[in-house]
Amino acid sequence: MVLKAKVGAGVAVALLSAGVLSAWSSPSSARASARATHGTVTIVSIRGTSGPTASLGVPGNNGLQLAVNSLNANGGLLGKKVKLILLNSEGNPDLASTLSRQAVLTDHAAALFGSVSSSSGAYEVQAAKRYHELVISYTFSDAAFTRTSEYTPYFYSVVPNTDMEPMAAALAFKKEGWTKIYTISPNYNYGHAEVQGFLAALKKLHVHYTLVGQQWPALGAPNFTSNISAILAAHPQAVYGGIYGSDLVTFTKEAEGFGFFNKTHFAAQYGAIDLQALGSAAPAGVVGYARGGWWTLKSPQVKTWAKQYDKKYGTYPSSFTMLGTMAFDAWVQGVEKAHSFNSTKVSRAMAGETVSTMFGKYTLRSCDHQAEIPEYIGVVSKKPTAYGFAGYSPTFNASWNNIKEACPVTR
Amino acid sequence: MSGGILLMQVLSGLSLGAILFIVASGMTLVFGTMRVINMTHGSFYMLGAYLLAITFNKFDQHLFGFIGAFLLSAAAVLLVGVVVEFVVLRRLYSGEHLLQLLATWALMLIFEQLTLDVWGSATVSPPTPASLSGAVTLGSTTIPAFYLFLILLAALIYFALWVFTNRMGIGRSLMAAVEDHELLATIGVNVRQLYTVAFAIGAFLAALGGALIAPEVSVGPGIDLSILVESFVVAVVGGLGNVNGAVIGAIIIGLAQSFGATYIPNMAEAAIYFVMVIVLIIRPRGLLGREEF
Repeated sequence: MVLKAKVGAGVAVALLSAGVLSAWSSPSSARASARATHGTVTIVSIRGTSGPTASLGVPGNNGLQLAVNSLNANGGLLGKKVKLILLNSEGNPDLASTLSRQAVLTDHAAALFGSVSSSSGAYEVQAAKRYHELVISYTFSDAAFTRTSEYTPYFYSVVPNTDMEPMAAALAFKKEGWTKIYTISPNYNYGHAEVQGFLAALKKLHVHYTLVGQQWPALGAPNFTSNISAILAAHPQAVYGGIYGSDLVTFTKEAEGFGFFNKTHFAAQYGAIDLQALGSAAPAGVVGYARGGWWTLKSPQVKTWAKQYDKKYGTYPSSFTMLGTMAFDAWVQGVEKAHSFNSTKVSRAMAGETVSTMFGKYTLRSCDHQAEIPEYIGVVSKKPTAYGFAGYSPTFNASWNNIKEACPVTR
Repeated sequence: MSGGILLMQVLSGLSLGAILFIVASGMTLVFGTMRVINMTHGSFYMLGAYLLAITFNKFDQHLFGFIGAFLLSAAAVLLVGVVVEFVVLRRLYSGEHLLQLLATWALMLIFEQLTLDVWGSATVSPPTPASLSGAVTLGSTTIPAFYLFLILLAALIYFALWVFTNRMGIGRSLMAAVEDHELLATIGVNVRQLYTVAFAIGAFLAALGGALIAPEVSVGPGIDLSILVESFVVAVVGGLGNVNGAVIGAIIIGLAQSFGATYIPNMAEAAIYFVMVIVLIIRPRGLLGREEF
């Protein structure tokens, strides 16, 4: 019986795979000529809008869609309407691999806006290399994509990477004098890169730390009880958390019951979505950081944008809504400068460009195509923001200049 | 390791096992009776969690309000289970098991999309009932009061299942169906009705697990799949089709998770699968499973 079921599952996987594969089997020769025809130009967003990364995937895609709608309402781009196609990777890297080829070969995307997780992003960067397709990430952040041989000029990172973000946290650890350290991070390449980046940042800041333990739970684990009790057993002074999204919310709620936040210090990616989800259960006193801290900005335009988003989607934007909008602005500006939708021309035009957005200006660094943007970091406070969820007070200075890495020497 | 830390690890493992038992007992009951590996089981868990988030807001947010909310949520999902069994599965019993597996898989995907459409992508996070939100200090260790509540409740549910399957007519018929459902049909028992009952109880238990744990987790898309895998591991370790096996399997897997995180943190994620492989090597039908399965 069990064997039958296993065979059945295998057959089912094969059948579904065949169905998906058939969707991207069109010849590549059709690709270039089909771009930017019939008065529209297509861009593709590959996001996990269901599955374990949906809480990050959907708000990012929503941000892109709002930006596309706004652009089209104002006449489009180079006289064409922009069409955004969402391809749901379900948080599954294998599916992201298939979909990134579909985006290029079937949908003839002029640009591809990337996935949530770096394990999915790795396939999109491969597609950028192989097909000379412009890929912009505003969520997956493994520094390897911009700083190592993985680099391709067709890839841009509009998100603090796994060197920059941990540097922001390391600055807070140094300031607070926390040296007996534990880490917990999801068990895939982003999670490992984030912890590696954090420990490297501590060394760079000359913090003489002791690493008393590490936990590597699965992304989307149903609970973290075992990890929490293992951490407490080691009596760390502070814990660096690479976990994020719904995992972080679950961790926080479970940890509260153990008195975790009274026994050790904690730093993790508490962004707008997490702080909204936690509500009054947001743990005051922990260090929170976010890649797109729109709620800390005072601009009336940002406030209007956030309120409009809330009105449309029933919740406030996430960090990735902001970064998705900024990534789209970069592409639009690149297209306008290149006066073309061609990936090669747009990619060249974007390098070194200073992009104007409602969230402020930022530059796309020429040497590695990393956006020169800050990390937002501070102590989670019970005092609510103007949007009703917990904010950061006081904050730490994690400006671009404080968290940047030098350009890779080989370039 | 001090006694206090050891106690924390054990209680932490048992609390994990408590939810796993509640969910896996439903899965194993459905498999034992109907010979169906129900991929929708995780969806019922997810629905239970979402419904708890809604209903708990309508109740007094204390213990009795919570009890009312999780019972109501699980009862609502029980009805969904009846509809699924009646409309979909009932038409597939005469076919290959592969068809049933595919049908429940398809339903899992449909439920996932429906929950996304209805509740959106943002996670919801219902509060812990006020009377259970504190911590209990046992010697030098601290354990959430809510986890002790879960352990006690799981023991109560095990007792209720035992009474149902050993002292009540319909429960005894279910156990007879686990033994030999074809023989049961030949003596005039309405086996299809039994299937409906088994599937409804399975849905109820899955939803109960989801509703019970909802205040401690973030309820969102994707929680169906992770619990499905873990409860399947529990059912396989205990022996598919055996509720007592689900108890033992849940305790073993819960403790393996808890101690694995402490002693083999780099491999903790795989600890439960190591346990499953070892059990299957030593006893391919699971600890209390029958030869037929």
